[in-house]
Amino acid sequence: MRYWKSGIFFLIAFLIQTSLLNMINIGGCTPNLLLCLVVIFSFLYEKEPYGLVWGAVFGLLYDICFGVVIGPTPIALVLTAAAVVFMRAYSNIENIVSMWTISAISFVLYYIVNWGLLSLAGIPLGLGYALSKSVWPMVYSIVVITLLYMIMIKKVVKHHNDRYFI
Amino acid sequence: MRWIREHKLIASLLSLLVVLALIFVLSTVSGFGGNFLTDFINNGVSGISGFFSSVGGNIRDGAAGIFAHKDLEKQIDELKDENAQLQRDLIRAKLEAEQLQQLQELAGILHYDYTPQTFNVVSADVSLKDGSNWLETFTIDRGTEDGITQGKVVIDGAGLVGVVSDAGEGWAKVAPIIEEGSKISFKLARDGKQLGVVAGDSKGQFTGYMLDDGSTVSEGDILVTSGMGMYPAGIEIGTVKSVTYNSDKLLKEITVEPAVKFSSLRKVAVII
Repeated sequence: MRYWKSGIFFLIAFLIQTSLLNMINIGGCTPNLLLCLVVIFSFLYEKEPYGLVWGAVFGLLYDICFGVVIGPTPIALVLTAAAVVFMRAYSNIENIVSMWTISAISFVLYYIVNWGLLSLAGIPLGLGYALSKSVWPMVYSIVVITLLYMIMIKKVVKHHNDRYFI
Repeated sequence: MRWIREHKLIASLLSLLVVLALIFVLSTVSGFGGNFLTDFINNGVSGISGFFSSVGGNIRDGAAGIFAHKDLEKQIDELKDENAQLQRDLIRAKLEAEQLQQLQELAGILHYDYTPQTFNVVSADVSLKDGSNWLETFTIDRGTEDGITQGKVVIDGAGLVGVVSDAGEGWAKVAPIIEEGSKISFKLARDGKQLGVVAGDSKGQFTGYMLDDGSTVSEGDILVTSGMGMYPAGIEIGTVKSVTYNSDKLLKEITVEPAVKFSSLRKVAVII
């Protein structure tokens, strides 16, 4: 995949995350589309750091538009992408359980880093409250990332169900 | 240099993190305010995302209409009853208005300094919302062209929503009161003489205390703004959830459930 093509995915996610998705939220919760894309792109594409680059760019844009301070979102996304790249070296990308495990760890890492940076910036937000509010968005995001995985794995690994394919 | 050449990805990652950390520190130290670049980006994003918001709103309204037919019928019946009650209230209010008019005339005769509280409001749609699920910060589709500037108070039908934190042409960012950090002076709706102070407690509700330790505040009491400070008087803040007596401070401490449901805000009004 070319950089500009992956960038379009991130652009669409950025635009609908704060508009259309909020209008059709479930129980006030929405999946974090930027985080989902950062995780899935970092997990599936080994050589091209799409998640890292676009995570930084759109994370920065996100904070400029909606953040109380600029920086927590891109830093958390970049660190999450780096963690996924590190973890994928020890996992099988064709195994969906590996993807779920790495996604869950990445989400928790993202929320903790984001919370830590917001606290450093002086935003009063209890960790317990922040994590409790993140449970359902995380579940929601896992559903979205599973759908993305099922679509994208076919593009990344041709005939992935065929064990004899080389 | 050789290490950098051999570890391009790690070197790029570290450089990127250093740059982002610098931006973060600068933003935190200097305070995140409006400048040309952020205004330009906000104008563009608000314009494009506004389209997606209206599409999302239409989808939600359409879907709600299909799946909530019985609920709608029930609501219509309830609204009819409410309408009848409001008609009766209106008649009573007209009578009271006449009495008030007479009292004001009397106040004029006695040279009593009476200043009625009036303010203009601009209604706006919530066009964008922070997607983090933590902070309830949101953007509205009206801005400086309507007189909305930083510090203006935002309300909705249920009560006090927050304060405009930044504004540009066609958009304004609103920081909700539960995250605003500033203290709000309140009075009990049933007894305007019982005053107190509340502030967001970073857990989605308010905590505060009554100024008088002999206050009769109890669970279920409704709090409204007292008019002291930046918020006009009489705007509902929330309902008292619990009351405890702090014997060290000799104060009655309260936790308050906000009147406004921030996750489902769609329309607000800005007091200008």
